[in-house]
Amino acid sequence: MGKGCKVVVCGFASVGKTAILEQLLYGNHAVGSESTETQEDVYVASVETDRGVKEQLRLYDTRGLHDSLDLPRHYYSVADGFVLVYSVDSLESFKKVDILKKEIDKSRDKKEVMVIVLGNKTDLRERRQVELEAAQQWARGEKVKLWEVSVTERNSLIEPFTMLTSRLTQPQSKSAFPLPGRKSKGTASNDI
Amino acid sequence: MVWLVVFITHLNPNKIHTELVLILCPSFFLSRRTGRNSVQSRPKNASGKPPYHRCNSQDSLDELFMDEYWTEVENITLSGEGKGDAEPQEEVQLKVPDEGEQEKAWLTEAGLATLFDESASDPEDMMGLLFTLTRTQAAAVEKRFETIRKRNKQHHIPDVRDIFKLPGTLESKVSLPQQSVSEPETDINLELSFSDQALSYKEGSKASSEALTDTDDKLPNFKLSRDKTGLTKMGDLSPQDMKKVHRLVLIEMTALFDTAGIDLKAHKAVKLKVKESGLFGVPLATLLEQDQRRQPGTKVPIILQRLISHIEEEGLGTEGLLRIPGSATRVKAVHVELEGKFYEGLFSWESLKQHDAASLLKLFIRELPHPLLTVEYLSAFMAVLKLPTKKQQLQALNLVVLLLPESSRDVLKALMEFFQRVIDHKEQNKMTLNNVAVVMAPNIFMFKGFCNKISMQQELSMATETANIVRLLIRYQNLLWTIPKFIMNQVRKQNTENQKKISKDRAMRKLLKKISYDREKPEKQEKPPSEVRADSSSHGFIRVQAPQFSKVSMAVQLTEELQASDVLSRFLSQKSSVSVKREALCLYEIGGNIKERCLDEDTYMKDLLELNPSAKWVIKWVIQR
Repeated sequence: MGKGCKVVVCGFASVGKTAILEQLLYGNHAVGSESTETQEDVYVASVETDRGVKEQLRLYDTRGLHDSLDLPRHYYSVADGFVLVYSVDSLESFKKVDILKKEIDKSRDKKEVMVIVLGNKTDLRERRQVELEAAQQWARGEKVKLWEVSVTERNSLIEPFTMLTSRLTQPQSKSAFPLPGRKSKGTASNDI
Repeated sequence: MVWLVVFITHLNPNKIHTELVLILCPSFFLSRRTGRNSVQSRPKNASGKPPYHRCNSQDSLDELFMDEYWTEVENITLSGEGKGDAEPQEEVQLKVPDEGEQEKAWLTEAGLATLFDESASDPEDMMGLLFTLTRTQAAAVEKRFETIRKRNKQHHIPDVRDIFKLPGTLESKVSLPQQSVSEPETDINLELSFSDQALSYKEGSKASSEALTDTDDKLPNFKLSRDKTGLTKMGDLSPQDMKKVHRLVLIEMTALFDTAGIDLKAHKAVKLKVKESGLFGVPLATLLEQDQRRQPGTKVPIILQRLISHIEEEGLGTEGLLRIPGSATRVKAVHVELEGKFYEGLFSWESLKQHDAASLLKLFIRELPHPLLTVEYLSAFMAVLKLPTKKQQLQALNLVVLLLPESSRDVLKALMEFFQRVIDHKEQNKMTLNNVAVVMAPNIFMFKGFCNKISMQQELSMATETANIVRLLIRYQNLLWTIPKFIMNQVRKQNTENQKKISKDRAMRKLLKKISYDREKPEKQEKPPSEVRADSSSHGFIRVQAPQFSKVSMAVQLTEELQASDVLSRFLSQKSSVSVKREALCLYEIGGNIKERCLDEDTYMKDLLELNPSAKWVIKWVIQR
């Protein structure tokens, strides 16, 4: 167990961050269930990478952001990777992703940080505000990978996280920047 | 009367018919009853207690019910005769140790052996304990210590005043809240030491409304004053803290009896030759050890669990359940059969009659080589009723139950729960609280070698007393199996004291120096996650960890209303379909001034956090202790 990569999942309030994680880990998130306000939950998942190795991932489920609430600073220094989540039915949440991305670039220093973006709630087609094409264009400009996903389809969630883990645990990047004082608790974990 | 007893004993046991017993019995206990009445008219308050307390509680047991007590005793005697052989066990277990000896044993058990024997245990530990004692508790220790000191003066022992100076001065600082007399009678105050309460009751000595509750024939509805930091049940603590609880409870109980001027004669268990395997007549500890190899975590012997569940499967509505004895010959046969077949799973439970099962259950209790309530504390159980008020009786009972070894305590609890379920069906089975108490009392209180030891008169007064104690045990079981808050607080204080001592150690100081040096360094480095934790809690969060699960940690907003149950349901909210049973999980308070404590669902997190600010909160599978 020992170290696992720390991945911070963040984004606008109620875009489905917790839902994505719960669905990914337990596969039993009831769609449409009442959203709960997360403070900060930490999950440990073991993900099989495309190299066929199982890797531990510590997923930080953070509190939903809104206009007057920014992501607490300490996450920027702790995280090895980010999952930025927006909801396709809310333009505001997409703008937040943009802000977050810029903030990560600013504070990442020399450290290499892996960022992926997830556009959630594709099942709500008729309420779509963020077009896939526009989003992808933005992503290319920012040099990040972007997927549109839906919690109703667990399979759509697996690829992004597999890719993220594979990149994070690539031998060279793993050993290059060890974080001081990193502690992680040993855990049981669910396989993805 | 005596003639009758002799008559029965001389009958060939194998030929005794149940009918015969039935014929014999009425005349038998008629004479007994008159005997009892004459005893009762004897001044009861020889010890100077107000007469009404005990009389009332005794009168509340209908005379008619007492008949059942004697029937039961008769059945027991008969089944005993059935065995026929002169048992080697009848050598008495009761032995009153010498004076001084007794005090020494007491101090040792209270973890204060260092007071008379410097080599005994580490004094640090003892100081921690003495530090936390209340005035009355300290007085109880002092009294015992004095006795020893008088006896062997040649010993060089630190002056008792030196020892008690510290706690004395500390006490004025810590000063327990003064007793408020205005509290409602039926509230059991767990915040304040029972003995202190008893003392102020004595000093106040106004009968107050206590007399009112006591004249009430029915058992009053005692309730625990709601404790925001949660009830602590017996299994909730770690063994380390339970040891401290045991010591404190022993001191507290002695102090409580001291205030009432009751002298407790402690009995010592005499080593017996006991069976090392089998079912009946095996010491509880041995039996449990044996069962735990089959089913890890077993707290109540499997045979007992099986008997109880068999009786329940047959239906609790059967009239006269527990009262009507099974057929003596069948019970004897089944007894032998069980010994041979039980663990192989070959015993056919279907053919076992319910009343026979009930008789076997009673037989099991009686056959225990050490009485269920233990030789050491049996007299304490009996002395409980000598306390002047119902409230104090209950408090004392609470303490004695706490003192029992774990195995007896768990078995007793299982029995009391079962009896309560029987009583819940009283509409059908006609077994009321009184009925069950009366029928079970002789089974619980009489054990081999005990009956021979006491006079007939004692036996008579014992009947009502023991029945009353069983009645209290059943009725107030939810109250009695909890650890009073003031004991918990004393444990916490003791742990804090011990930690202070440790932190005085040099090595620790070095470490502290290093830490403070590290802190002084400019904070260029990234904050380690532990600091994230610290600042989140200052924002009104608590961090709950669950290292055994994939959701390893969660931050919970701390509000006034947040309870342990809320934390658990939040933890489980999204994964209701995962095969995690909620009952199997518990939120634990770990570290700070407690080793480990499984939290009651109604614990208010904020209040508990104030009590133990440096605790960690961890969700775990419930540990079977």
